[in-house]
Amino acid sequence: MIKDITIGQFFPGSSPIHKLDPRAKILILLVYIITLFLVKNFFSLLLLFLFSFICVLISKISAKSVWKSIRALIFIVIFTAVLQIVYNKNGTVLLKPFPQFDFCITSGGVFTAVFLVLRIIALILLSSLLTYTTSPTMLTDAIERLLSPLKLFHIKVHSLAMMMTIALRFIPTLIREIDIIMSAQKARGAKLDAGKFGERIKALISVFVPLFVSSFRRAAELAVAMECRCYTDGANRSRLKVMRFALRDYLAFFICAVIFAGALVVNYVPLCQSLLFERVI
Amino acid sequence: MSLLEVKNLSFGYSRATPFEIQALKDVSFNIDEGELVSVIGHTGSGKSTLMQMLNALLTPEQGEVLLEGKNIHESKTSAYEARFRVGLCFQYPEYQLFCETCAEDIAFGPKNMGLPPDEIRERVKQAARFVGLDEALLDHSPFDLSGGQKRRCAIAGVMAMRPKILILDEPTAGLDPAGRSAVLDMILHYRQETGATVIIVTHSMEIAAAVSDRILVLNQGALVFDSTPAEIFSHYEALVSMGLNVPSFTKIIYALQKRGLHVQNAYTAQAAADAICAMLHAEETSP
Repeated sequence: MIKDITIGQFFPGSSPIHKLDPRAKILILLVYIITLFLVKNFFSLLLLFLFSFICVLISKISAKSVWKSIRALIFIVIFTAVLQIVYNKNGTVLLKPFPQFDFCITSGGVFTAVFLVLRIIALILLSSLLTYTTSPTMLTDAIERLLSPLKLFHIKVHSLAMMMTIALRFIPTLIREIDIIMSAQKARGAKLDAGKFGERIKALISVFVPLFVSSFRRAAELAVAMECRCYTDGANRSRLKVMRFALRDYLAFFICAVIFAGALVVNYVPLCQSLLFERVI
Repeated sequence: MSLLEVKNLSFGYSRATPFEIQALKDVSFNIDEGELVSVIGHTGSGKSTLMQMLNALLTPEQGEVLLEGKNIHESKTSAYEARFRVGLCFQYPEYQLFCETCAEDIAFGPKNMGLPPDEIRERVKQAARFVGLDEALLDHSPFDLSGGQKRRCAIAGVMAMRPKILILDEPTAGLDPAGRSAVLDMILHYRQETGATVIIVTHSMEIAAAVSDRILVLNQGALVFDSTPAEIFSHYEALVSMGLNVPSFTKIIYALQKRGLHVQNAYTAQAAADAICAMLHAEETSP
């Protein structure tokens, strides 16, 4: 149950996607998401969808894990689709199941539903690929680097990144701890897995109080341990792994730029769409 | 009929994934009323998994646990009741204290049992006495206590349920020698007064040797030995090969035996001293 949480799960590997500079991956993902929400026609969307699909193939992440990340949001996907089909009144009427009601399924509704589903899945595919192929430490490191211009505004980027790293690091530890505390309280008859809703909520207090206490204890211990190793905040800390853009990163930028530009051109130049339509239909 | 009968228990974690672990393999044993049994084993040998099955926190994949002849995993109700009849005190129980006062924390178990307030008060007082917790401390917050006192308070919380079987997982872990012997004395005292059955899970061979009637040895999920301390500690090499130690006195005796001296096996300080004296005496009389 509680062990099934897979936030920021990372699958080590040696695919080209794994080897990309995490900063490149974040930037590409950002532009990808923006493009994804700008495009309004099927051809561009299909292009972006294919792009994310091929990325997943290259990364060699198992279909099962990819499905897991989609499954987590399947409710939202279905909900949007149903909402569109039921409420969208554009286009021609395809089906009117109840003549007495003003309810019908239109071509516009079906079209938008399929479009939105594809868009959300394309979004999930590439976003989950980022966490699947990048270790949490690399990720926060990259975020720190990307946000470093904010230092100009006296924002402590390094502290923020360190907080993120520590938070990510402690997720599995805390999950294990919750598991132990829950078992211990259950051993004293706490109704955590059975009983009425109210009783369960009450029983949760017996889990959260010890969890908070131990989290503070851990935090204090960690702070002492860091200070013992002369941790100072931010300034002039060197690092073990210095990130540098390599040839493959520039190559990735180039390929993605071409694809995203292609999608936008098809989207914004009306001529392209009509040309494509003629070819296909 | 034994008080507790464990038959062919098997259990695995993370089935059908690359992280699959076979935690228990076909474990069977009996525990009689009033016995004090120690369970020893290397880290990851399945001790904690086994203990969580005895009070039905975990359901075995195969096999059954019979408490007074009844399968505790039979239904949800029987599993819930088993938690009160087999009291399980986890490792480092002081990290599970959560109430505003010690008394309330000790009363948590009895309250969940649905006992009347008078009975609960009486049980809290008795449990506090068993663990040697001063009655004045009962109204204090458990977070104000010292480490050893917190541990006693937590153990009292399990004792207050008056379980037929009390299971203590590493009750002396992380305590100094004085605290360790205090906790052990407390367990022995509790057992003497209530006649309850006690199971102690431990890494410490000295503790297992000193207090138990019987010792169960687990290795990689399988029960390898189930016998008296004397018998168990005569398997010196087998224990060492499992990554376990033997009491230091057994080690001394073993070293003497290796040198060709005829010393009797022993596993406590007194027995070892007697054995060595007997050996010296024998050497003097027959040169």
